[in-house]
Amino acid sequence: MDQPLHVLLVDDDADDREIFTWTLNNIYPSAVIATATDGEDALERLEQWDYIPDIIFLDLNMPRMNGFDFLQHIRRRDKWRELPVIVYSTSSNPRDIARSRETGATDYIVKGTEMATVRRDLLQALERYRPPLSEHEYRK
Amino acid sequence: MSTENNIYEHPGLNEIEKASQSWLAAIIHSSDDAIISKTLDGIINSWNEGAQRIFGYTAEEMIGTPILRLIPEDRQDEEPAILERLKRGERVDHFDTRRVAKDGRVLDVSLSISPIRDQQGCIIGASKIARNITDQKKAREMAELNERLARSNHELEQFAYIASHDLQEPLRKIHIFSELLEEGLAQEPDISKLNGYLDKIKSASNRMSKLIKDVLDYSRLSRVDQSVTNVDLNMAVKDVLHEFELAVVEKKAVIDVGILPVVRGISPQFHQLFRNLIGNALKFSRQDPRIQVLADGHHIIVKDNGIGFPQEFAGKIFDIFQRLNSQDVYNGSGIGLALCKKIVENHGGTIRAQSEPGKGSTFHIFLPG
Repeated sequence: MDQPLHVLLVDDDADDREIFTWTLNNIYPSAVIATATDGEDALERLEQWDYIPDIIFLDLNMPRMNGFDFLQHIRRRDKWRELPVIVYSTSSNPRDIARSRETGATDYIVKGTEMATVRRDLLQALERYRPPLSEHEYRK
Repeated sequence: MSTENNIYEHPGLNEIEKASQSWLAAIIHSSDDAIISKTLDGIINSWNEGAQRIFGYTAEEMIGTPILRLIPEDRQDEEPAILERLKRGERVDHFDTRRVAKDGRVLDVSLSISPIRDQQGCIIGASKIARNITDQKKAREMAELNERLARSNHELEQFAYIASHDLQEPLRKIHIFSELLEEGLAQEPDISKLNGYLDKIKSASNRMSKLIKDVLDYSRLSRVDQSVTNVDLNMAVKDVLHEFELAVVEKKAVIDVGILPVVRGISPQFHQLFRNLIGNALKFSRQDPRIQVLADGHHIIVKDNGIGFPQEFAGKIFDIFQRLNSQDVYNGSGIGLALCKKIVENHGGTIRAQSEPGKGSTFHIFLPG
């Protein structure tokens, strides 16, 4: 039996959460999408769950705990060390990209300015970093 | 025995004096500084080698001539003032000014001048030590210039960041929600959902124009052509409160304003400063907002009982785009406090913040007295 795809999105921006959820639901209708509004909120959720999500998409500029601090926190824990965390930010600043890699991000995606780009980026990231999907989960 | 005694005999007082005088002469001779003496009429009567090295004139050229020769046209009135002070027996210490060398170069010099008295204690002239500080001054100016450059570079970087990040955000939303709107219109139109997209587009474009306005305001702060006047901070706060009248009524905010000082500065900048601080206090308020604007001399305090923030962010909040609160709940461009900091620094002051989550924030502004 295939488990559904579990995705956690950490982003303080409600619009961006909506765009992300909308797009991902279109690609994988069976995906389970959880959202957190900042790093601290995400850590609390991860602690509560009895499973580990397949992949995390992480914004950088957030109140309370930003993306970099969140990365540092989870990379210190054995059970989350290998978890794919894709930074998903508006910033295309090379310093933010370099710092994300240094703090343990798996990959870095600049948020797309068109639906087609958003869709393509999410699809690519999921194909590359999540465990293999069964055929029926795709709806392209 | 007697020969030995003679050898080790103390020299007479006269000889000590002679020896010490020749030492003094040697010191004056080999000093890097110009050591000059003049009469109370400003006529030079001694001129050491240091003076020759600095000003280029020999002793023969200078002795017996007026010291005014060394003083630039626009500073000629310095000499009578110096002579007046000397006649009263006063010293002039580390007076930084300019003098002209033989070849016409204008030098930055630091002067120490003291009266010379005769054995009866009457002032008969003055000794003057002039140190050439042209290089030092240049180095200082270079360091200042470098610092200004570094600051302006840092600001440029921040602007690049705005372009790459904060302006992208609303632009992206406008684009994507227009696409969703388009797609929705073509399919089965759920009017309320489509209206929602339209609202998001409108609010993103509003954010964008606010951001552009704030960035412009911020960059205008660097301009130096704004006039410095006496600014009555009581009036500035009164004007700003007038602008916020509606928000104050809506939030049922209580605002106490103490007696504030009148300071030298750029009036519109002080309006901006209070607009941001009071605006923030209203924005980040909870139930029954209470805002105080007080002063203790030139120490100005803006205090609220709002949501506050962890003290460890106290330094970061003045950086451009440091957003402490969720974009969902509190909308802001992230420039306001950076603007406040720059305004206070423009006026030679400092600003710092004190806060604790849930316990309100206090902003301290220290302006030079």
